[in-house]
Order: sequence, then structure tokens, then C-alpha cells
Amino acid sequence: MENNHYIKKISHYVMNNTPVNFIFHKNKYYEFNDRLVQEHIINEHSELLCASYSLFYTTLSFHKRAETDSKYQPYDILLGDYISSYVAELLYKNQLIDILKVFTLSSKKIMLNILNNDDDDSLLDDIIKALKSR
Amino acid sequence: MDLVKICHIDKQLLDEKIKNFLDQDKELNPKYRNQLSSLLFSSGKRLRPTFTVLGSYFGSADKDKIYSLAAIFEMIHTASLIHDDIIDKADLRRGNKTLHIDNGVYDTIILGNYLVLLCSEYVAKYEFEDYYYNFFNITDLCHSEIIQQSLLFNFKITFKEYIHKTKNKTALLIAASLVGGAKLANVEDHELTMLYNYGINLGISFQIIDDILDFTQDKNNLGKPNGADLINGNVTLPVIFALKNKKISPKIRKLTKGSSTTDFNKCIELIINSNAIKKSKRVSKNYLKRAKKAIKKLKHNQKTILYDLLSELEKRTY
Repeated sequence: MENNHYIKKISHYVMNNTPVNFIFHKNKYYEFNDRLVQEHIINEHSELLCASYSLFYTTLSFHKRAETDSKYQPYDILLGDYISSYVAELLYKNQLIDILKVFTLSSKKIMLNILNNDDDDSLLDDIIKALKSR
Repeated sequence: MDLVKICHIDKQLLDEKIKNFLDQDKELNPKYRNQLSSLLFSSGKRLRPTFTVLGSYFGSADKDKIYSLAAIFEMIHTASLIHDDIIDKADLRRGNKTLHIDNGVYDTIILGNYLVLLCSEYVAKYEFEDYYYNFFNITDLCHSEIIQQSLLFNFKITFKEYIHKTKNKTALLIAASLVGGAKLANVEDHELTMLYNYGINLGISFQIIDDILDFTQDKNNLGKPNGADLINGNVTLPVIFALKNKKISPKIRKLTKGSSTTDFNKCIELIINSNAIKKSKRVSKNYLKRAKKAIKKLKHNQKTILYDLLSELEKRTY
């Protein structure tokens, strides 16, 4: 994980362009990685997929922090936006269009759930299902 | 300035598209749906969708698809405004209360995210990926905003840095809207390049005019206080020119986030009465000329609309 190219890129971006700390969800990274192993999914893009999944939660954390961190609120909001678009653009550039679609629909559902005070989250299951159906 | 009329946009169809997109998710709380609807149907200029439809005039495309892409560009722009208002701590947007005043910061950020993802969903549904992700990188837009944060109250910002920031902040989405529509209409690559350059130069000019209007426009029309950009620490072109004036410059350079309203208002008045506005208008006009030059070799009978649009933008007062 420490050597994940995409995570390193974002971590450096945050460090070099903003005064805030990078928020990383190791547990989410391993959760995805373990699930790939468990389901015997071998994918040439697994590094990218693990990064994309964990960075989604980084985005949410930056946006959550914006609520309380008044000093660096603009950075928290913009970094959340930057990282989520980075993930979408990355999936597009690698032509993982089916995964991009699943990512879009599942994360939109998560946003709706947050607005409805519901903590349901099927992102992991949805991506795994899409990978298995390839 | 009625761009929709000049470009013969089917406003009813565009509004229908936006409304249908918004009505899709039954799980969306009606309160939030109404807020998004109010924002999307308030007095915005519909600039981005106008450009998408305009781009399609240079080729041939299915009207329904073009207006769907146009609606997506309008919605993505609106989503960016929702987050911008929190960042700018703005209480008003187009004369109405901003969303975070009612919803709080977190829910409003999430609502903005929802709108972005709703756009992405329609991009996927219509298989618009190549027209959307190829021409428009939201990361570039966010990057320019992040850099802007680090340059707040930085009076050393150069003309070149300002133009670069303006290109990413405004012009890219305008150019992407235009070229996205054109690409969907199967316009040839060399013509796409001309249209892209037209959009970039027009977009820069448009933002410069916006930055001038922030100082000069009546605050009731503006829906926010005069000089709001400077109050937020955003150093725009009129300020860059005013900083070259030895009498005004020391006063502006003293401004910080904690300066009093009186100090800000004094500086705003000095900028308005200096030649900074005139110089900024000249730069804006220069970018309109560049836009005109970019389409010089474009051979199409719809080209006149592009010229008409430039003439209208030159006269823009709101």
C-alpha cells in the first residue's frame, strides 16, 4: 500500500499544494484488497481499484472535516472535489468504463443515504460484483 | 444579453431536460430537490448549455442527445457554485439565500456531490464519456481553485498567473461545453481545435468582465456586495492593474482577511475610480479579438452566430 502509485500521487499533491494533512483510510484499502483475494479476482488494475475505493472515503472525510475545520475549510472542500474527480478521470483514462459507472451509481446512492441519515453503503459489493461479472 | 435568444436555443427543451434529470431520484428529499430546482431555474445565463447546443450547429446530431449533454454541463456548473458559495462564505446567490445557510455545511457539500454524480450518471446513461471526460478535467478546475486559496491576499500575483487561473476556473468549462456539443455532432478535428480556442479566449474574456462587474455593477443586480472578490482575498485583474498605481497600491497591499469593512470599501472605491477598470476592459476586448481570430479559417454558415456572440459579450453589463 505504501508504494501504491496513485495514493502516493494524491498524498504528495496534498502535501505540496495545501497546508492540510492527507487523510488516508488504510482499513478501506485493505478491505478492498482482501476482498479481491477472497473472491480470487485477478485484475491488472488492482492497484488502481484499491486506490480508487479507499480514496472515495478520503473524499468523504475531507468533506466531513470541512464542517468543523473553519480555518482550512476551503482546502477540505476543494481537496474532496479534486480527489473524487481524480478517481473518475483515472477510471476513464484506463477505460474501466463499467467500473466508473458502478462507482458513479453507488457513490450517488451513498450521497442520497447521507442526506437521508442512512449509513447504508454497497460500494464494495457493487464493485466486486461488477468485476466478477466481467 | 440574451445568449439563449441569439443562439436560437430551445429553452423549453433544455429546462425540461434539467427538470427530468432532477426528478429522477425519488429518494431525494423534496426539500433538497426544491433547493436544487430553485438554483437551476433562477436567473442564470445558461452559458454552458448554450455553448453545447451552439457547438452542435457545426455538424449534425440528435437534438435530444445534444440537449441532454447541454443540461449536464449546466448542472455540473451549478454543482460547482454550491461548493463555491461555502468556500466564499457567501450568504446570497443571485439574490437568494445560499444553500448552506439553511442546510449547514456538510449536507450542502453532500448535495453538491450528489448533483455532480447525477451528471456522471447521465454521462454514463447516454454514453457521453468521450465528450465529457476528454475535454473537461474537473481536477484542473479544482487545482486552480486550490492554488487560488494559496494566493488569497497575495498581491504579488502576476498577470500571467491570473490568466492561467482564469483559464482553468472558467474558460475550460465553456470550451468543453462548446467542443463537447461539436464532437457529439461529429465535427471534424481541425474544426474542433478552432472552436476550442474560440471557447478558451471567449471564456477568459467572460471571466475578466465578471471580475470587472464585481466592482462596478449595482449590488442589487449583482446579488452580493460590490468588491466581494477582494473582500474574500481574491486578487482579480482590476486589482492587479490598480496595484501598478503608486498612490493606490500601498493601501491595497495593507488589506488582510481581518481588515475593516471601511478599509475594504475605501480600496474598492479607489479601484473603481482608477484606470484599472478601463485597462481590464481592454484586456477583455483583446481576448474577444483572439476568439474572433481563432475561427477565422472556420468555413461554416453558422459562424456568424459565433461573431454575434462576441459582439454581445463586448456589450455585457450584467
